[in-house]
Amino acid sequence: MQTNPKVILIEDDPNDLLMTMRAMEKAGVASTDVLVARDGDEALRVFFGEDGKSEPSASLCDTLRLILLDLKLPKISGMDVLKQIKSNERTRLIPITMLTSSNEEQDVISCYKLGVNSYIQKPVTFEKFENTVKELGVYWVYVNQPVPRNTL
Amino acid sequence: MGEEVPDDCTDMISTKDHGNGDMGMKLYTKRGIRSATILGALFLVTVGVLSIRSSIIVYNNSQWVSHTNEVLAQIYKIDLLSSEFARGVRGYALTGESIFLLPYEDAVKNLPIEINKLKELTIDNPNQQKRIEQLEALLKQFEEQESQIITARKNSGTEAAKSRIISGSSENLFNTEQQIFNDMVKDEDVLLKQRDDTLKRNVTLMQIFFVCSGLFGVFFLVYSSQTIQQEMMLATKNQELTQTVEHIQVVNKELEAFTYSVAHDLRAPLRHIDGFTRMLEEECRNTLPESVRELPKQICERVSYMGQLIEAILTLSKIGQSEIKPQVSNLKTILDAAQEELKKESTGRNIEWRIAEMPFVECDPWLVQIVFNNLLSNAIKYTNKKDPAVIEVDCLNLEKEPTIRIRDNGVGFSMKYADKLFGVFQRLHRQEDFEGTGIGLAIVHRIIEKHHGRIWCESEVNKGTSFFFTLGPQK
Repeated sequence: MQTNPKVILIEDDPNDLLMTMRAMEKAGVASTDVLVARDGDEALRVFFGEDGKSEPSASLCDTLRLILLDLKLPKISGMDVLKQIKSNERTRLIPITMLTSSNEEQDVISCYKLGVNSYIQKPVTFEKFENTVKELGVYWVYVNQPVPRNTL
Repeated sequence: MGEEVPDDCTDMISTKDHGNGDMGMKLYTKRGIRSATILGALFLVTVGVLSIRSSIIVYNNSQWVSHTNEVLAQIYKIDLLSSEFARGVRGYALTGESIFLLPYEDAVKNLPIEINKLKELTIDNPNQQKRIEQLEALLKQFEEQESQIITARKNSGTEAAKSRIISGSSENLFNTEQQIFNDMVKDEDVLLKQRDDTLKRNVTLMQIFFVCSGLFGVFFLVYSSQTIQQEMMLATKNQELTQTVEHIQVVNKELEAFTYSVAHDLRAPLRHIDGFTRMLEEECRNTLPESVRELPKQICERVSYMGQLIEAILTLSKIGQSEIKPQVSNLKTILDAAQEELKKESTGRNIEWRIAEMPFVECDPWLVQIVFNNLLSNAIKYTNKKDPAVIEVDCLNLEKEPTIRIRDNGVGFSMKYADKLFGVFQRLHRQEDFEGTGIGLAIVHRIIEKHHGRIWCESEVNKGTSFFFTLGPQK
């Protein structure tokens, strides 16, 4: 596993995982650049260590360009993960995109309130998903350079 | 007495078996109860009035009876007094003892008083009054004679008195007096009998009235209790009905929620099927034999269509569950918004829009926009073989009930299948000719239903279609 991935993907469903990886590959993101977490706890361990209390490493936060977060996760929910990431000084500036199969207005509103940067509804057709991820990937990973920390 | 039952609702009450077979055919309508109550009240009032009248009559009667007895007593008193009168005189005539004059003097003093009393008592009876006059005259004569007898005794002794007595007409007078007394008594007796008979008659009448009112009271009680029983049964049935309705509503809501969650959960696996098929196609594009090369694409197409159906179910279900928020809305604005959203579908098409004046209507603007979206989208779709396509939107019947009409000159359909039109996934055209899921009109129908409005259509094959809808009662 890479220590400094460009994208962290937090997804529990193996099929969705496969397809998202595929879509990202097509968008130009190498699978070696992607760190996968299979549930919320694993994701939080990546940032906050085994005990959940460590500060996220600076190198991790510098290279990380995008977090793809599934809304529906087992055990700890996607919203909670979002909340925790957004409440840490170092991690809150990393762009996060929610992935979800529902387009419930309430979910969208709650996520935006918590500070998510964008939102993809997982469509039925793969083609559509591919295109969205492509646009996403192109924008966030290659076009949008992270803001240097010392200018804030 | 429970729920109001309308007067004309007899079919709810009468002929069906209610499990109280004894009173099967009786009509316990509100009108019946009202009439019975009025009748009963009238009857009881009549009985009451008659009873009071009767009791007054009875009282009067008893007063008359005692009056008559008083008269009789008075007559006997006078009779007694005059006897005392004579006794006194005879005693004195025989003995000369002045002690015998006491009853005489007493009678002389009291007779006029007692006769006056009798006069007063019988003042209403002219016959008796005449007799009393006779009596008075007679007693006067009597008095004269007796005083002569006394004088004779005083002056001349017993023999003179005796001869006076014998020669006098005392006995005749006395007999006449008795005769008068008898006549008077007879008269009073007759009156007494008359009044007694009247009394008996009135008492009997009163008894009849009481029995009748008692009977009616019993009848009314029975009738009322039957009615109450029936009302109670109706109330119970009503309650059961309400409970059933509530239960059905709960079940319906559960069904809607179930439908929604099922449709929702079908999306993920569908997505995976599509994804994997795509991946398969991409990997094997060049190695697949000719005969199967198109298959992955067809699979994806079908999956996409299934996705549309699922979205359609979800939309319909969400609308079904949503609360309608009515407000006064400008239909023109809503129509414009719908047209704007349909710009994509109408690009490249030659469509002639004829939009008339649209009123302000009380409705939920978001839901009504969905209605316009669907109906206009259909109009655009089914006129795709016509050039120019003419789509008209206007409002009819503004005074009574605003009715929106959307008319197109498209392919139309046979009215034979009109009732299938609003069914879920029902289509009257082939998928190859016109694409679609068959949910649009079901959604429209649901929305109109929620507004308590109506929707219907008229169409003829190749002559076009008109849809009409109302948005429920307007204030």
